[in-house]
Parts: sequence; C-alpha cells; structure tokens
Amino acid sequence: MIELKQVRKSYGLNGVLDIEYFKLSTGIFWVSGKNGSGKSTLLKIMAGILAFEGDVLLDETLSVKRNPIKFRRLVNFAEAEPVFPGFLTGQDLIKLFSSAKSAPKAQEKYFIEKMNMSDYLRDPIGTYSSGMLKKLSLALAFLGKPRLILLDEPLTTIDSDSLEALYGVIGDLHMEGNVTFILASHQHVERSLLSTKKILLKDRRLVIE
Amino acid sequence: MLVFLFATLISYCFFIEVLNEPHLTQEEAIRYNFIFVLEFISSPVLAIGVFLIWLLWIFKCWKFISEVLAEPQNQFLHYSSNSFSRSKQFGSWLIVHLFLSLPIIIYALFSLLAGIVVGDWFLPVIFSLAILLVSMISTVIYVRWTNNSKASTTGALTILTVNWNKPFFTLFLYYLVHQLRVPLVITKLLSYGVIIVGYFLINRQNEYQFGGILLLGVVVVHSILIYQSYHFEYYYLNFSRNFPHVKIKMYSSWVLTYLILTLPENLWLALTFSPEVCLLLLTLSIGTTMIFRNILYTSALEMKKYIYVISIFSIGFYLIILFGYVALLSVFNFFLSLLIFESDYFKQKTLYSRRIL
Repeated sequence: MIELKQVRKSYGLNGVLDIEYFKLSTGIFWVSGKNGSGKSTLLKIMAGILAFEGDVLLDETLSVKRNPIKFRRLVNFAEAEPVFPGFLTGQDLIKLFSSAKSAPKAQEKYFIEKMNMSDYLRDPIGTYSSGMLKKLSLALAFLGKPRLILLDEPLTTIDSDSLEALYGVIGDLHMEGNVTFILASHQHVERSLLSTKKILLKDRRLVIE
Repeated sequence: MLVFLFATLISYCFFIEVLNEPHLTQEEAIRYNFIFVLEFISSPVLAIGVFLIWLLWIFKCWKFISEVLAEPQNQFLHYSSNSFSRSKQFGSWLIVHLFLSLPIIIYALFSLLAGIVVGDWFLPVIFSLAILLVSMISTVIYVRWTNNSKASTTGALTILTVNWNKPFFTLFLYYLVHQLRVPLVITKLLSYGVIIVGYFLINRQNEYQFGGILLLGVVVVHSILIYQSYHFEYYYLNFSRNFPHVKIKMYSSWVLTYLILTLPENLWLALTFSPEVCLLLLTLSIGTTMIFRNILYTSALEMKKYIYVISIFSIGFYLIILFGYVALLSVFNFFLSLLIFESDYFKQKTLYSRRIL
C-alpha cells in the first residue's frame, strides 16, 4: 500500500527520521512514539508537505516526488494543530478542499452530519474553539477519493460523542472504501474497535509491534 | 527599525554637515540649528503635526498588540498574566507601551530639555502630559484585552465578507484587507509615489527604460507584501501543499493575486504605453515579483536577510535596465521565476522546524 524508501529527515544537525525501508499494507495503523520522536514529521513527509531525502511510494508505483499530483489526489492529511485563515468559514474550506480533491457532489454532508458540525460551519474560523477546528480539519481530510488518510493526533480536543463518530467514520471508510488510515497519537487508540495495528516510532525508525 | 529611522532622521536634521558649506560660519550654523530647536518647542503647527503622527503611531501600537494577543502562541497570556494584581499588570503593560513609544518619548524629552533651557516650556509640558495620558489609556486597553479573551475575535469586515465566494487566488487579498491594512495602504501610497516622482524625474525618451525602472520600483515597494504573502501561505495555507494542484496552476494563481493587487499600477501601464511595450513591462513586473517570492521557497529567509537579497537583485536588475536589456530581462525573469517555482514549490524549506516534531 505505502512504502518508505531510504527516508531521512533532519532539522539542522538533529536527525529525526532514518528509515531504510518500511512497507504497510491496507489497514488502520496507529503510530505511537514519545514527544519529539518525529510522528508529525513522518506524516507530513507521507502527505508531501515536507521536503525530505528518499522516497514514498503509494501502491508501488506512485511516488510523492515523481508523481506529486496523482499522489496527492490519493493521500489526504489532517494536522495535529490545524491553522486556517480566521476570516474563512468552515463552508469556505469545505468548498476549497472539495474542489481541490475532486470530491463527489455533496460528499461533505455525511461527515458534517456524523461529526455534528452543521451549526457553526457558516461562522468565521476565528470564532471556532480548538475542538470545533479539529473536527473541521478531520472532516476536510475525508473529502475526495483518498486511498490513504493521515491523521495527526486526531483524538485530542474533541468530545467523546465526536470521538465515537470519528471511529465510526474511520471504520466505514476503511470497510466500504478500502481506505487505509495512519493515525499518529499519544492517546490510546481503541484498537479493538478499529482493529488497529500499532507501529512504534523509536530511535528514528519504525517498528510494527 | 522604526526607532532607528526616527533617530537617524532627527540626527540628520540637527547634525548634518553639508559638504562645501563655506557660506555658513560656525556661529551661523549653531544659530540656525537653535532656531530649528525653538520651532520644535514653540510652534503649535509643528506640535500638532507631531501629535497627529504620534496618534497614528499609537493606533499602530494598539493594532500590533491586539494582533499579538490574538496569536495562538500567545493565548497563554489570557490565563496566566491576568492572575497578577491589576496594578502589576498595569505596570507591566505601561512599560511595554512606553517602550513602543520610545521615539515620541525621546522627542518629548528633547523638547522639554530645550524648553527648560530657553524658558519656553509650555508646549513641551503639554505634549509630555498628553503622552502620559495616552500611555495610561493605552495601558488600560491592553489590560482589558488580556483579561477578556474575546476582545480580538471577529471584526466587522469578517462578518461583511462571510458569505462572499473566496477562490484560492483571492485568499491573500482577503488576508491583506483583514490583517495588514496599514502595510497595504503604505505600500500603495509608496507605489503611486514611485510612479508620480519617476514620471517627472526619469527621462521618457526610451520608454522601455523609463517603464522598466518605474516598474522595478513598484515591485521593490511591494516586496514587503510579497514576503507577507509567502508568510501567509506558509502558515495559513500549509494544507494546500497536500492539494493535487498542477504547479503551473499554483504559479498562475499567485500571478493573478499580484495582478489584482497591482491593478491600479497595471491600468496606468496600459494607459501610458503601447500594447507591445505594456505587455513586455507586465512580463517584467510579473517575472520580477515571482522571483522575489519564489526565492523564499528555496531559502525560507527571515525578513532582514530577505531585504538584503532583494536589494542586491534590484540593483542588478536596475543596471541591466540601464544598459537597455529590458526585453531580455523580462523574458529571463519570467522563465527564471517559473523555473524556481517548478523546482522548489514542493520542496519548500522549513521556517521553524522544531515546531512540527
């Protein structure tokens, strides 16, 4: 499904990732690791947001570097601490993401309903709480026809009802759409609920537990 | 930088020694400087002028503080600094405000000192009291802002534009109008100033050179906004690097943004020059602007270094225009900007890498 080949990333002299080769098949994966271990960096690299050494391949053929457009059409990403212009509304961002990711018409309705977001989507983002912003960024990551969705700290700041809804959406997309999920999280992911496989990021390398 | 500029201007006014100034004796020079000083402390017109400039400065300080308080990384101030007693908060914010008001305080102290020496202290004392009063008012405002986190949320403009359609290429323009009104107004005034002054000062016989120099000036004046656009994209549109957009589409989107931003200048261009010259100069303008922007993808420079680099580029481009290679420079800049964008858009350097670990 996704392969990391000789992926290396450092900030100045501080090496963060040094992955010779790592491959994941379809599924739901939970990347765990202590603070500063490089989880966000790993997800950003896989999303094509961060420059790095090496390559990331989707379905053995699509390279994030050589096929940047096709790769990004199939890989979506939600940040740990999403930042959007405060003057935009949730609706504006949904339009923007739907258009960029070629989402089917009215696809967002399902996520808005599931995550209970309809009350505030017409308000400027500057007025959102961190939980509201987090739910919006997660919903945006589901838009389009992705094969892989990367969620950075998806469990933080959202309430328990939304958490349950999030697990539901992830489960549905995985079961019905065969979408692979990689979740980077400090918090315990309900592995039984999602049949998640755990990956540990330690000493700049990935290990499946 | 503003303090430095202020100090430089004042010291220039007082201490400049003009070359080849044999017609002024030492005594005369001192006397004229002294007259100038007296004007500072006795002229109501000058006092009102300084007062108005100072008020603008104060509004800018308020805007700056409100924006800084609204930044996510400073939200902790709303639940930490306000646990101090009101008097301590007031004292701390007063120091902050006085620091921001240093130029005007230096001016007030200077005029007060001169006023005491010559015995004409009425205006300087009034001015100093006004500074004290406004500093107190500003401090009360800052204390209220830190004790009320809702102070900096939705502006009237945000509410007005909430239902407007906002395509990607317009986002930076919305950001300018919402967040950077003062730099926008100053940039546009400087830009029109460059055109007006250049129109009368530069030889118009060679219209390629004439237009090229003016447009280079316009682009240089816009370089702060160009830097801000990169900053805006880096922080607020970071998600867009995960979008499957063809690079030429993204390049065109930013070109469109700048064409709209410089619409009045472009209209002037169309009205002043023949279509061929206008097209060539527009290419020069777009190419140069996009070079100034795209080098940030390559280097992620801080503002200070960016200004140095822009200055070096501008001098180089100016010399090339002076030598008459305007057409060559237009084409070269356009393709160079495309090349940098193509090569570095998806490989952008990180500004504050530690934050994303």
